[in-house]
Formats: sequence, structure tokens, C-alpha cells
Amino acid sequence: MKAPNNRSYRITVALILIIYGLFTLVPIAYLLVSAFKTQQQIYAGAASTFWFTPTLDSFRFIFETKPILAMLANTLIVSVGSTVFSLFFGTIAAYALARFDFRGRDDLAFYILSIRMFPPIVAALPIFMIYNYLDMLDTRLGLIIAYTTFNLPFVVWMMTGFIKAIPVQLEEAAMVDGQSQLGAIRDILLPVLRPSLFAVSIFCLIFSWNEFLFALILTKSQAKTLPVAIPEFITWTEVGWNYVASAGVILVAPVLIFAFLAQKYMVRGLSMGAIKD
Amino acid sequence: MLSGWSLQDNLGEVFVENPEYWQSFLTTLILVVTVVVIEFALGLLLAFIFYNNFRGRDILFPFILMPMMLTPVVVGTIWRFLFNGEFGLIAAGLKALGVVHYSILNNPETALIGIVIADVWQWTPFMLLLLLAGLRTLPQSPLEAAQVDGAGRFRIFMDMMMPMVRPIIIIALLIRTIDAFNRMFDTIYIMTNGGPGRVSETLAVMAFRSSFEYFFMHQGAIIALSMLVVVILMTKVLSRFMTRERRA
Repeated sequence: MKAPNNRSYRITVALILIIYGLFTLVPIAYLLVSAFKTQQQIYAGAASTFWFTPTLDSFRFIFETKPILAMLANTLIVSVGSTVFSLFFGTIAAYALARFDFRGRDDLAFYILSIRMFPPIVAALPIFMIYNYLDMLDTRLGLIIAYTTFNLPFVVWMMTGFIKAIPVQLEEAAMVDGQSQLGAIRDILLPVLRPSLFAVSIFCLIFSWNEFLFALILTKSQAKTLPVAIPEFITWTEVGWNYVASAGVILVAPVLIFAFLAQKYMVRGLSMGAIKD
Repeated sequence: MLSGWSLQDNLGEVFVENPEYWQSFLTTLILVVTVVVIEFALGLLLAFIFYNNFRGRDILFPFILMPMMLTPVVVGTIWRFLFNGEFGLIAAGLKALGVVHYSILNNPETALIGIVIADVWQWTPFMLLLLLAGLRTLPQSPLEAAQVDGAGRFRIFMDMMMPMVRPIIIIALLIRTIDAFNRMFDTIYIMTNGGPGRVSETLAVMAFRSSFEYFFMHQGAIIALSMLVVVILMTKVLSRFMTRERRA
């Protein structure tokens, strides 16, 4: 269909995009500029919000007062650990759901997806009590297992769709040529699936990186992730906005950079997996 | 550990003796409905705009999607400080209108509005992405034929495109509703922690506070379970639409 091309349509669209674009970008810009300010500059008034001399003072302050690097390391280890774990088992499960025909398959697939629809607090309460009993509170392994509760169903659901979209004849041909089923998966299916695996793992990484509730409940100090540290910078008098902003920028920048580099995969991943299965 | 345990007592404690539960239920319902309706309307408008080509579309698109990648905790802090009555940007805007030192989140009348704005800001892009993916799967030829026959753009959109993407619209609405219901926690915890008073205490926040602030674990568990029941009902509806979609 041809795009509309009259003057009033173009002006309306431009207006909507400018307003919505500002609505989207101003808060992010506000976070970014505040990270490079001092306390006094935060209070300097609205006129100087985007016009000031940037300093690294607040970054220096938070690195000195909090173990930011250790918490970043925790966040990274937990995210990667849970993603690898979910991707491995999820892809195997997805293969079975996509390639084998058994009774109750579609129901099983939907039950697995519905775990993703759980309110996180429903999973978090029993996990807290179990970990308390097993002495696994405040460990990275505990957090990895907890994050798998939402990553694994996601991987199974998405990968089932991706594997179904690949014609089974490819594997069958390899098997006729004398390959075992595992060999066919390794040599034929996995190379074709690589972009999909990549897209799904990006999502798992972002979900785990941004996770807050589990980390808040299940960690104290040793395994604490960076999102849990953010609220600690907010005091009752709300004076520490530049510190919060610096910590926020450290937390958010890797995701945004990563997302921009991989956006082609992400859009495709979401539109293929979520809409068509 | 289980001695003296009685399901009936626990249920009564939460649902009967405690009017706060139903208040939180209502708060959650109001927030979820408002947020989903606004996000859907905005998402549909933007999806229609981005469906048509214009100069700079592919450059602008990833920037529009940015909020949904951000950590919800950080989103909460950004909006908390934007709304701050002392130095926030929005307070400065209000001052220009003659309202001095007004802090949206600290006032019971407006706290929920602040939370809705933050949620709409973060999750409209998600709606846009789902709806745009749906629009892009539409066959082109009937739409072009209608255009040749002289149908207006608005008519084509309402009478042809909307019915064709209806299954996707329903799925998108349900997924977003379930998600909003479940995840009304991170941003609220940061922005108001359920306050002022209890006006913004959703069920998830209430379950968390009962368990980990007042240490009534059993009450928290029952509140969480009641959320699960609601979610299971919504998931059932979703499953029906998804299987119908698959058969079609």
C-alpha cells in the first residue's frame, strides 16, 4: 500500500513523532546529564538542567562508597549463568516439542509458557523459604536457579517456534545419508538456528540483568546485584540524585549499547516468536 | 512449624478482617486497566505511523523502543526525580503554570497518575512492537485493491486492517494485561513504596510488604496466591485465543 502523501497527514505525523519522541528521550537525557553533576548543580534550577560543566565526581563517590564492581560482577555472572542454563535445557525441550508428536503436546507447551505468566512474587516467596532452609540465600547459584524460573519457559516457547519454522526434511536428508539424529541436530539444525539462539539469549540476558524482585528478596551482600543497590542511594531527603543517576547509567548503558548493536536480531526474534509460533 | 496452622483462619485474616486487601485489589485493577488502555491507544497510533514509510523511520525506531530495555528500577528513579517537588523538571514546569512546590507522587490525589505515566512511558514501545509485527504480516493485495477502488485511508484501516489483525490485538492486550498485573512492583516500590498512605499499594507490593516488612509470611503467601488465581483465569482466556489463532 502506498504511503499517504498529503500535507496535513505529514504535519500531523511529524507533530505526533516530535511530541512522543521528546516524551521518550527527555527522561533518558535527564538521567544521563544528572550522572555528571555535583549535588549543587542538581539544585541549580531547571534552566541549567542541560547546560552545566560535567564532572565525574559522583561516579568517583559511588565507586568509593559501594562495591559497585563486585555488584556488577554478580549481575553479569548471574545473568550469563541463567542464560546459558536456560538456553541449553530450553533448546533441548523445544526440540522435543517441535519435532516429536506425542499425546498432550500442545497442552504441555502451553503449561510451560504459562509458567512465564506467574506473578514473580508467587515464585519468590516459596523460593525464599526453601533457600532459607537449604542455606542458599545470598548465593549466586541460588539467584541463577531463581532466574531460570522465568528464562527457561521463555526459551522453550521461542525456540519451539523457531525449530518448527525450519523444514524437517533438512534433518531427514542428513539422516538418510547416514547421520545419527544427534549428528543431524549438531550439523544441520544448530547452524541454521544460530541467529535465533542469539536473539533469544539477548532477551534472557536483558530480563536477568534488569531483574529486581528476586534479587531484593534472595540476596543480602555477597550475591547482591546492582539493581538492588539503586534504591539504597535514595535517601529520605532525596539529596543523592546525582549518585542514583550515576549508578543508573552504569546499569543501563551496557543494555542499551548491546541492544543497539543487536537490534535487527531482537525485532525479528520478538516478531517471529511472539506472534507466529 | 506447621502447628496451629489453619487455612480458614489465614484466609479470613486476609480477605475478611482486612479491608485493605480489597482496596489494593481495586488499586491494581484501576492501574492495570488505565495503563493497558492508554498503551494500546498510543501503541496503535504509533504502529500505524511506523507501518508507513517516512524519512528517518529506521533511525528513529530504535530510539522509540529504548524505554522497554531499561531496568524498571532505574525507570522508577528517573520518574521519581522528574516528579520531585524541589528540583524536578516537571515541578519546574508546574511552577511556570503557577503551582509551586507541587510533588505529584507525594499527593494522594495524583500519585497514581505519576505511576501511570511512568508505566506508559516504559511499556508503550512493547505494544508498538507487537502491533507493528502484526500489521506487517497483512497481505498487501486486498488493501491496494481497496485503495484503487477509492476507499479512504481511515476506512481501510478501520474496516480492513483492524479486523485482520484482531487476533493479534487480542493476544497483545492479554499479554500486556497479565504482565502489568504481575509486574506492578519494581517501579512502584521505588517511586512511592505503596504510598502516600496506601493509595498506590498494588497486590504485588502488598504481598511483598506483608512478607518482608511486617514478616507475616502467611498473609503474603495468600495475597500472592490470590494473584495467581486471577492470572490463571486470564491465561485460560489467552490460551483459547492462541489455539484458535493456530487453527485458523
